[in-house]
Amino acid sequence: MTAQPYRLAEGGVIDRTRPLSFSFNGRRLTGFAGDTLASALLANGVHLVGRSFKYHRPRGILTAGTEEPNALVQLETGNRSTPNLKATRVELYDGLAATSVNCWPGVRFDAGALIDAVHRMVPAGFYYKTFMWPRGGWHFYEKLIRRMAGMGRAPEGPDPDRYDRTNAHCEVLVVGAGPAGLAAARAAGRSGTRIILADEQPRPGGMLLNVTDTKGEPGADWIGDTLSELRSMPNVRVLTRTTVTGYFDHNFLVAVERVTDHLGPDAPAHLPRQRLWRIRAARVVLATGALERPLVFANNDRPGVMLAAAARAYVNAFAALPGRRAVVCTNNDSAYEAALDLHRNGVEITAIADLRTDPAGPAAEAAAAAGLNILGGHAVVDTSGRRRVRSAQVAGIGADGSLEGPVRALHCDLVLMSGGWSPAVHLFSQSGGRLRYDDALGVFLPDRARQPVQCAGAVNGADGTAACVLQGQDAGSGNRPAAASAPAAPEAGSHWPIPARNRSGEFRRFVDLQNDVTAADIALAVAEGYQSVEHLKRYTTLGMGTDQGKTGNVPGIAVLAGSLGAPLPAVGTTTFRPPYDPVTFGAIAGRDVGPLADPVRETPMHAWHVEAGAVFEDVGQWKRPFYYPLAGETKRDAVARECLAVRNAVGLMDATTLGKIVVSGRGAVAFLNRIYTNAWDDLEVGRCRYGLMLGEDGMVLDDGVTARLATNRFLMTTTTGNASRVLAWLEEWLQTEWPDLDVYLTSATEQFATVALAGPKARAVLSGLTSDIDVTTEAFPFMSWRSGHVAGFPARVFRISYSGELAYEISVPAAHGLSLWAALSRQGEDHGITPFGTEAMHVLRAEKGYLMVGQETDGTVTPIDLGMQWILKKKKDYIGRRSLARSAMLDPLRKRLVGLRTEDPELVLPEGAQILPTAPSGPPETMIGHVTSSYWSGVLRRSVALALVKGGRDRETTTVHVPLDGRTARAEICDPRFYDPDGARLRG
Amino acid sequence: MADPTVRDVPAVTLARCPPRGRINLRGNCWDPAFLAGVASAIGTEPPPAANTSRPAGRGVILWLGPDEWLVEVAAAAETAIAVALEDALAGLHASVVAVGDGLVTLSLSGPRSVDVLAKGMTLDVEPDRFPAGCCARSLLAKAPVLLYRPGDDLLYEVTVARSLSAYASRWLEDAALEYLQPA
Amino acid sequence: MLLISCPWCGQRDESEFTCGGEAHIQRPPDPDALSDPEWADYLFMRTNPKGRHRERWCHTHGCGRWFNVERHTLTHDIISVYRMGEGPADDGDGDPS
Ligand SMILES: [Zn+2]
Repeated sequence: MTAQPYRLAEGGVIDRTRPLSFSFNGRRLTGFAGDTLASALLANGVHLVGRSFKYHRPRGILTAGTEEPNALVQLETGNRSTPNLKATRVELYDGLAATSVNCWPGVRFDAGALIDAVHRMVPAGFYYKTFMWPRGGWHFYEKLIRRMAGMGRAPEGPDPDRYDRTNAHCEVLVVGAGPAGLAAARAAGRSGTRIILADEQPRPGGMLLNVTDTKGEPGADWIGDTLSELRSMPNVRVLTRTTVTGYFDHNFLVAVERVTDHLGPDAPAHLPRQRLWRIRAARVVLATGALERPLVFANNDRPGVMLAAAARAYVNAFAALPGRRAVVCTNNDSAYEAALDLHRNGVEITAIADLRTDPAGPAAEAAAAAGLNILGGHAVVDTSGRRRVRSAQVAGIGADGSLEGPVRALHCDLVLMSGGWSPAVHLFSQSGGRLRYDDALGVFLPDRARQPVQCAGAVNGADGTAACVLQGQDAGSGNRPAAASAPAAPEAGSHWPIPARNRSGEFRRFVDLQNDVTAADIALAVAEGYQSVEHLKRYTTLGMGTDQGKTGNVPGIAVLAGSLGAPLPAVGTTTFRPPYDPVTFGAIAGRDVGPLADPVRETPMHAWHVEAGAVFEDVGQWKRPFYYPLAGETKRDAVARECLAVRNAVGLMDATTLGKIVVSGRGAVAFLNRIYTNAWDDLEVGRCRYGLMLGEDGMVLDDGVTARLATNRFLMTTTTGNASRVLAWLEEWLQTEWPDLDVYLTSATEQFATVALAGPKARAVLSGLTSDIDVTTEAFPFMSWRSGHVAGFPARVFRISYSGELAYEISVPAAHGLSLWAALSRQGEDHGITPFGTEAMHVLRAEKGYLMVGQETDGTVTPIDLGMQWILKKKKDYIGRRSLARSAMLDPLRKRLVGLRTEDPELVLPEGAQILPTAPSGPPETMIGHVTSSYWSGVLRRSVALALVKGGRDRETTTVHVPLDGRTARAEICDPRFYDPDGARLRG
Repeated sequence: MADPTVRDVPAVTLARCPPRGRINLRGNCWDPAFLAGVASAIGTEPPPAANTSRPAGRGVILWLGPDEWLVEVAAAAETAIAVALEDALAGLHASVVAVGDGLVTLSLSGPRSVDVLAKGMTLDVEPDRFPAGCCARSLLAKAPVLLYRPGDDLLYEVTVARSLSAYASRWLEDAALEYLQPA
Repeated sequence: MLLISCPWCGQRDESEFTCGGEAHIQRPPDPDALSDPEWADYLFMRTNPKGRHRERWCHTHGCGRWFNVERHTLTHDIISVYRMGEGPADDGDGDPS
């Protein structure tokens, strides 16, 4: 166990009775419960925590929060590893292991740092300028650049953690639990309606947590009282460690709760690691606070250069000293409080360089009273030190903003800076709210809201805890918060950037520390014509890092305004987009991963298929048996065996998944006449008819058999994949175009289990299982249906066939599906009954030249293309009819359905293969069509294929060419009905 | 929120209900003859208000849409009641379809049942927003469901297509896991 | 994620709905009377305004009813919701027709 040389003996929220051991870049260190990784590193005197993205410059800890651009770490190893986490936000747990990102081989010696030596050769837009030549060269360079630039590394295996996602509704969502947010939640909570208060920190309190002396304003006691009142309200939900990352339309917000991140890999396994909250709020109060801005001076990125308020937080909240000897540079009062707090805790404040010529007011007076050395009209203009700041160069700044007088080097190990505060308007801006630039405060403030949202506290320009609490109370009660109070002292508006003392320094004044964008880059971009802030962002990558420029954006805009000689509000801001803070993919996916990624639908007979060793095929969400291989059988063998069983004996197939829709009402016939291309008036009760549905564009949409159950009642079937789509489409016509048609539709897909019994022995099998259905051809002809009992279950039996054989489809209530299947299997044993899957079904129907929707059709195929003119009504209208009459649809060169007989009978053409009229002669070839279905036919002992070919059967008997991998197959165009073209077998 | 943990009561219990008879009923609820016909067959008129239900004999009739209801009865009574409805509504524009085999009802109860449902549903299902007798079709994760709260207890019935019941029940089990560990 | 008021069920999350595109496009009563370009216009051409837009939506995973929504395409504000066969309550400026 190592000592923590920079840890204060007293104070802070850390628990000194609970030391925690952790490792950073392999070095074992100790911190305390309550630490962040950043505060624990600082307590151990570790400032060098990473390398920058582009120049691989040594970087330290800039902030104490979510806005951190520098201190990115890779947390843990293996599949739990998470890249690019901010050390300022990672809570310490025992055994934590973190490493730096962006450095190879290590943070202290980094090969990429050589880039920094030549860094004037790597200016803004460098990638665009350099790597676009030669043409295609980018692909080569990209690999090298990615390895070098890298950021963290994504884990390679599946994430072992659980993630949750949930929905919440509330009347008021309060974002941020600082003084304004706490006050808002309490005021809103007293109304009794549902309140959610979300805060990203482990403890509510916001910036108040970083303050020890509140000078009579609300402090720790107030937080405690407010929290205990909130916790006593059953209508208030307080979510800590929860970052609201997105503000979307209709007051829909997304937040990420880090449920067990702070416990590390030893967290209880039943708890989710993170929870994504999807919150619908009637009203939102944004109390998101403000973020301190860095100053832009030469080498402002060295480890040991820190925002003033961050240093204050480390000292007060974590009892960790960020250094022993500090130089402060500021353009406003807030840094004085930080300087005084550090001073009180034994840090030597060498000087406060204030950009304002004559710092006055209570802050400066208190500092002077404490004996601190205040240099008005001065600034830090450079720093030195290799892996840690060793000195700050301080000089006078003239009224014109130029460097004035001698440059003094002040020895120090810490430089604090404050460039003022930027209200955290990100979520307000995401909500569609407009911003305005406030000249007096020198900040962008929320202006006109587009959604029911109010801002309160520092985000709204309020200064001081009391003002924040007041605004929070107003917003929480639903009143408009009072206007922002004037700041204690005006801020310096210029000095962006602070002049450098030499040429080298001019190129190292960093604006965006994560993406290594400097003031010189911005000036160069402006000189090259990228003058809009949105163009500047994309050209220089300003604000495009994982921190989205929370610290650097406003300084960047100020530098741009300076380069353009334009006022800052004229430049404006870039668009704020979600997420406010990066979100893990795990949290987005929630539990919709692995077996729950998508619903799996199983039929009542599924267990039997599994038992029989079926190989399954996904059809939509359904699992359907594809084929049932016997031991040692290949797919082709199994499918051929199943097909022959149907052709020569009898097979049974699970047809449960076909869509079934009950169509009832006086208007049912009229409805079917409009929906299907054929006529339905003359269909008798007890009979079935095949129907084809078109889209209004004339293209085939779906097909299936519809049975007339009663005068005004039909049972329609659809293809498996289209069941819900067809029902929705039919409802749309009924509700929107034909409300006067008396028709009701009800889905019955799930109500019935259906078994297709097909083959010459089908009648023999069925007759043995029914006593109340006469199965003779005379009593029960092709395309009719009967009701009765099969295997003792109430059943509807349809004599229809998709195989071209004598076949029945037997429907029973779903609960009896498995029993029916078993009964048929037993009954058929003597006849050689064989279960067959969807692949055999495909082969059987292709041998017959039957269309399969989705195989022969792809949304561009008409019934005429399929040679199905016989199913089109001549006179009366139906959906799609007019489109079939469009001139383009009558083009004889449209692709039409044909059969293909390969010269080599053994050759099964690949589906999708292109068809040429002549042998290939080199590109460009003339393509006249493609193969849509292609199988080995066991009964014909040769391959069969269906194809769509220009000119269609006008080309019958001609030879076409199908280029394959390395050779060309020859095939003859033929009738697509390969087997039993007259249909004698299915009528038998 | 106050911690709803109650001693001796599991935080959440998921069960598959025994088979039920169910009839999908469609008709015009502005037609007095339709209302009277339904009442004569099941003892009550269909509820006209969205997302409400009414007791119907030993069963219940649930609103599905402005012209659509679900009658829930004992499994053994399904056929007889469907026939009774068909007879009572003969000649009217109405549709009666038995669908009991096509649906499965899961019941979710216990103090954390609301939290479990909220993970998969965008409906506001908190007890005072979804009071006793309330019913609504919506989505549970990726499965279309009918949610019904029969009484004042924290007990919700999730009715789902038979083929999706395994998915829905696995999803709910997974969502409930964090509340089911021993303390 | 929009919050849409179904005229039957009240406010529900967008995930329960399906958008059916521009509203008030009626199927021509006599398609044969239309020329090819007129038919193509009915079939394929839709307005795409920046501003108020009347659309058909279906409460697919709720009551199953189709209805009309007048929505601002830039702000996603829903200006009015009305049942099939009805007109919008507010027929003020910005009428896209
Ligand atoms: Zn609805």
